[in-house]
Amino acid sequence: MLLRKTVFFCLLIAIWAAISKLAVVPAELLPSPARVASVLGRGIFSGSLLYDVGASLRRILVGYGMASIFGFLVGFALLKNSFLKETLGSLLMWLQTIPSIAYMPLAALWFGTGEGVVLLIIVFAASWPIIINTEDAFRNIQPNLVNAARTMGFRGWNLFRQVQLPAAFPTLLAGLKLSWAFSWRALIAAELLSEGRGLGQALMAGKETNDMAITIAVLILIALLAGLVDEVVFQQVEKRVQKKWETIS
Amino acid sequence: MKVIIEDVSKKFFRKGKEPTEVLSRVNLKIEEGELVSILGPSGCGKSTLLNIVAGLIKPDSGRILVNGRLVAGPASDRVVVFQEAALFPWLSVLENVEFGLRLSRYSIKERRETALKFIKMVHLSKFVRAYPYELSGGMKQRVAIARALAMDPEILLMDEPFGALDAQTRRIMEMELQEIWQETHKTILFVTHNLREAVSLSDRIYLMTARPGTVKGNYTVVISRPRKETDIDLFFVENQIHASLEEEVEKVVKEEMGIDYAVTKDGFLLPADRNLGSDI
Repeated sequence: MLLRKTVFFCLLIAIWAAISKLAVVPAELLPSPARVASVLGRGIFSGSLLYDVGASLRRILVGYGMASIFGFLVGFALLKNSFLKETLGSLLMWLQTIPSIAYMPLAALWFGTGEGVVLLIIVFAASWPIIINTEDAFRNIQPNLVNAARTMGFRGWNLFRQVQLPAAFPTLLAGLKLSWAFSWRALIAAELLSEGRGLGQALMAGKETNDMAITIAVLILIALLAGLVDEVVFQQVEKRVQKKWETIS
Repeated sequence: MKVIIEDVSKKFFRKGKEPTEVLSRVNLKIEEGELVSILGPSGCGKSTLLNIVAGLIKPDSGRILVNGRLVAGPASDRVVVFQEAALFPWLSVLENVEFGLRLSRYSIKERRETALKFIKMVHLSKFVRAYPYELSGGMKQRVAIARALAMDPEILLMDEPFGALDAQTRRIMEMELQEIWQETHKTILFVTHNLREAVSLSDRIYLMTARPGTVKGNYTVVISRPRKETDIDLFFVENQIHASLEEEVEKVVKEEMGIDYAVTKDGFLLPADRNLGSDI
């Protein structure tokens, strides 16, 4: 598994190196892997890229956290109240068909181009999968699990925390995972269009200085950051969860 | 009298359809330490009745008394073992059995000891740390039984608990339930559509009619335990009840098949391409 992955990526880099070595594409358009690596290294060791990473990570963590809480609460409200589901639910469904970055001009006019707008865009993009999955998760809990617990005297908060929440967990997790990917997209898009430091702006720096090595280095950094969390956190938890939950008797 | 079910009736309403009367004035009584079966054709409302006793469904009229107290909702004095074991997949066998005790005043150590005692009773000591997905159907049902017993309920409600098991496992589970019952002398209300199962387990059997369900007969089974599948006495009791049950099953089949139901028990089906005498 790991071996295959390593071989594949090494091969990919080798092809890239070959293309830039043979000068099929001009070096300004496609810099060599070595140059990208050195730019990446310099950016990290000088601290300037690290600063961007820090700024972006802070935004995404705050935005993602807010989206998770907001999405959970809205999803739960839609589940409990059919009036809300028919009204607010359909409005949200319509709104979410619009890519959240499309709200940027409007949001920028209302709230300026600072920190708040980026967070708003992230929350808009990331809460939708959580809303949907929260509603779905609690709706599809096996009634017998709840009934069994009720006959053992569980109700209210105890029932929720010890039975309904863990029973809903796999679907909630799927929503969180999807939302994480959505958050990154929204973050980078919003940062490209807003002001202040961050990975989105670092991408733009490459364009402005005509140095694609910077842009490619930042792209790789984004993929590593977003992918690492997905692989290390979500996929690991998911694997364990699937094994147990999916085979509910 | 441990449990009294008095004049319980229940209708189910569905949008755009006639309400279905599931139970009609059901009366039955269970003594302390008795194992009582409710036997009836499928759809006669016996599971509904059990859920009403559990407090999971409210009756339209009538009342249930357990130890003289009125049943108003689900509570830990009446624990249910469902047909699907309904184990919590995120908990190990031990944690599942301990689960109900989380709300008790027991210390962690007492909880563990109680759980282990009942896990041992259902012969799963080797699987204490296993998770439900690693267990077979019969094993899951044992865990469910242990979990219910650990609560030390006033009455144990069993809703076709062995219905989803294969015939061999089912027989073993029936034997073990007898042993458990002899050991604990729990009051048990056992719902089944299987006459053989009812006879081999119960002290008493309430036979229910087809929908709307009501009590048709009440049979006492006086056969010494443990009862084996092959005991000739079982056949004797079975035959007593058989005709009555068959009548009710037939009603159900008739209702389901409508006019297609033309086959009598002693008759035989003629082939569709039979010779009607055209070659005379």
